Amino acid sequence: MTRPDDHPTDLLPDYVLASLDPDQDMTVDTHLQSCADCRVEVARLREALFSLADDLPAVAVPEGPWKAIQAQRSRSSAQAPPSSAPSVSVRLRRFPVWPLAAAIALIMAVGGYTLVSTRSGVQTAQASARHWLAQGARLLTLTSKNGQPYGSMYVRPDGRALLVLNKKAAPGQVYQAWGRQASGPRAGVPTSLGLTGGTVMEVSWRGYDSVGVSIEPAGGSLAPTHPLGRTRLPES
Amino acid sequence: MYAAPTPHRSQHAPAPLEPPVTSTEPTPLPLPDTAHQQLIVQLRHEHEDALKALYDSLSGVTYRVCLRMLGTPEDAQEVLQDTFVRLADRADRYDPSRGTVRTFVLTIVHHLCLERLRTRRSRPVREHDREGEEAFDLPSQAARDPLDAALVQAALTALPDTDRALLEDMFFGGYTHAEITARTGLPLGTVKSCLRRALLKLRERMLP
Repeated sequence: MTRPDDHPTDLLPDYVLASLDPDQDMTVDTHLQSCADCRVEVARLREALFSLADDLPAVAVPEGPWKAIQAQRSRSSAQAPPSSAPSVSVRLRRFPVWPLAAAIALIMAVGGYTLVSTRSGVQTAQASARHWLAQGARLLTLTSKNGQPYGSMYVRPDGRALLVLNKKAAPGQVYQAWGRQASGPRAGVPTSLGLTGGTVMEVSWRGYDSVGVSIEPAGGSLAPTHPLGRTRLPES
Repeated sequence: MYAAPTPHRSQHAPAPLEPPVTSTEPTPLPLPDTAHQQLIVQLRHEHEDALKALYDSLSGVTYRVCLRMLGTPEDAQEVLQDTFVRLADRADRYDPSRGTVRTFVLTIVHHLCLERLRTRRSRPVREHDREGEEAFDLPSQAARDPLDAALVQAALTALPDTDRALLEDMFFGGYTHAEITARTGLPLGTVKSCLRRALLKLRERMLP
């Protein structure tokens, strides 16, 4: 256990002000990696330093920058090469057939038939499912801690995964996917991979050892608040 | 002599640019940081509306920092723009354990402004660029009579606004401790002590 004397509390203001010599700086750096209390104090000191901005006189913000930001963002997205992994929200907006496709993929995987759809929709969905399977996707069942399945995950070797939840989230809620590393400095820290108000989301699992899903308020959360369960990824 | 500036404006501040504008636009209500954090999550997943909401909430303070550090509306607007483009690109780097979203955004803008200031300072200085700046530079402490220097230092460190002014020099002016020492004639140890006192005073404003 860390004794209070071990905390370099007196050095923290100088650490934030970059006033320490290199040895002291490294000492604080090392301590911060394992001390949440001091990390909180450093964050507070940074907030205090940046509160200098609060005392600046009010000035109206001109309209130009926002328009320029929009233009720059549009240019960037137009110039960007077609991504093999568009975000969930973009994908859902552009390809509204995806939820159906994923649902069909799930049905195919478990061998059941509970959905009737239009012929073209089924064909598209089947094609998508075949596409995932043909690309070497491996099917994993998403289960809660008590072993109850709540969805499926198709894991592709290229680092992409398709998560299919058994039912839609309640109104005002979303499903949010989280990746976790088993070791390293961020071991066990959940990182948001994506969210959906529907039943399907495509995420990138590269760099994580497990993928979990939680139910969150609309808009998502910075950390899981109502986790459903976590599934270990196959070792690549 | 290094006269203590007014509390909220260091003497190294750029000349006043334009009078503060009292906007007729309604000022957006500040959002709680939980709302900012939720917008960051949405931004990570490419919800463009989230970027607009963050811009509406944080562009005011961001622009003020730009103006204070860079001194011209043209530069300030460019960096304001760059800040939010960078925010959109780097939203996944936000770590709530390291501070609020607001501080995350201010860290970005501060860094971008410092880059500009350093680029400016690395250029050759023309004579007329130095006008008005000479008044801020003091002869080095060593060039003065030791007794005078000691008296000056004692007077300066006793002034309540000096700590804050030096902190503003460092933060908004982008000056290193050594540069502040060179500009004020104060010993490096004194500069560090003043900065520390000023920061701890600001820290008292924070809860808990």
